[in-house]
Amino acid sequence: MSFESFLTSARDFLPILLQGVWVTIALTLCALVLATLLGLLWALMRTSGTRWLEWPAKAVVNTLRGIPIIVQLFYIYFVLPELGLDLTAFQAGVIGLGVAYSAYMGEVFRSGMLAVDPGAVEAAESLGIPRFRIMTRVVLPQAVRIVLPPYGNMLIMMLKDSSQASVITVAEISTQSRLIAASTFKNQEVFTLAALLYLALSVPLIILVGQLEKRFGRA
Amino acid sequence: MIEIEAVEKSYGPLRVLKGISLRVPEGKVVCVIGPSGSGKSTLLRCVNGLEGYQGGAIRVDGRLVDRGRKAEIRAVRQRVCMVFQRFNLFGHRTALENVTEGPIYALGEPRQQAEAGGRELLARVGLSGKEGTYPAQLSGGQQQRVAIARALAMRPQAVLFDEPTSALDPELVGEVLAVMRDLAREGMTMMVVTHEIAFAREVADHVVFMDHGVVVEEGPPDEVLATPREPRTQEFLRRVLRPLD
Repeated sequence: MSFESFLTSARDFLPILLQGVWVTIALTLCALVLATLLGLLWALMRTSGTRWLEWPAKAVVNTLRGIPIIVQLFYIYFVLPELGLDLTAFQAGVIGLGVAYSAYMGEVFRSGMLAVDPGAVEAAESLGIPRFRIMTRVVLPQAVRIVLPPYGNMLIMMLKDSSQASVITVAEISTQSRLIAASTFKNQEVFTLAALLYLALSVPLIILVGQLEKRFGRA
Repeated sequence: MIEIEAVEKSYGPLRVLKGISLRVPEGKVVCVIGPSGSGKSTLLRCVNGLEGYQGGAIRVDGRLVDRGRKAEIRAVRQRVCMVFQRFNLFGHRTALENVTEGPIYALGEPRQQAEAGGRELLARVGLSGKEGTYPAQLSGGQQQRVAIARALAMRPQAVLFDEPTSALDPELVGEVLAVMRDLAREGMTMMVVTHEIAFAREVADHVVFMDHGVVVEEGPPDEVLATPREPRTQEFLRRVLRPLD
């Protein structure tokens, strides 16, 4: 692969690949929202102190953690329609990725909640600060600091795992590159471009997480 | 000010407070001493409503401390503030923010007023210039003085101290005790759970010796600490004052 042929390929294929980039970003962000909301739910259930909330959440989290994402995607895209629930590939991708990652998010949130200094919460209570304010002024600021770096890492992993949605035909970066490579046989150029595009998306995130760890790791 | 009447508390089958009665009159300093596990910290936490109790009654300024009634508990907590053994500062907030958090969010004071008051209190505990410092950068003694300022910021009618010097390096104990002594001289009502016998002797108006959830002996410090009547008090004081004998 000469550098010129690479540049020519880049010029020809980038417009199509960039469409894939937008799909990758949209898929990752939608799945992130779903994973965050569900993850919070699992974490709140698991730290509720009520056994009949803790147990189901634990069961769900362990089940999700125990099944590969690709199988979860197959299940949602191919099995749910048989049960009467038709989803577009993108919708199935968002749900599959979001639900799968909610298990890991839940564990991240749970560890953050458990790491908040109970003494500080008690001190706030002893000052007569209202419950809601204790949440917003003491618990959440501390939990967010603890959770932000691992949360950022989850986001990076989701970005890369969004490529698994190509198996259910979501037109994101890897799907597009596979299609182009199959029709042009320019495997080297196309997959190099795909790798570079993923790096362009993930390296800024990796740097950001590094900064977060530096800032919050100390306190 | 604080009236504790026949208070009972158990954790399951374990009775930690067995009908404790004790009074802290306004403007007086009551020191509670006793071996660990005697229930003295638990008693203090019950006064502030951090823990519930099963029998008897605790009244603060005439108000019943009852964890079931949220508004009532908050009113009690705004009158009686607590200083903890392990400081329990808000680690993500500066010294000044630690002090202003209560006035702003529990009393609804305007921020500027709370900050002015906070600076004054930090100066009073000898921490001028440390307003913007985070707890992790302060020594244990300084952290505990921030915690005292935080309690005073609520303009409480009484302050509860739960072994305030037990987590400190020996050379830092003095600066905290000095602040507490000044506070007592200014007429603050104080209930102090402590192992500092010398402090109790100098500052307390009344000393209570607790063991296994009961008050064994109480009275003026000269009597309880110098010439205790009860064998259990004598034994405890001997071990605290002359640990190597």
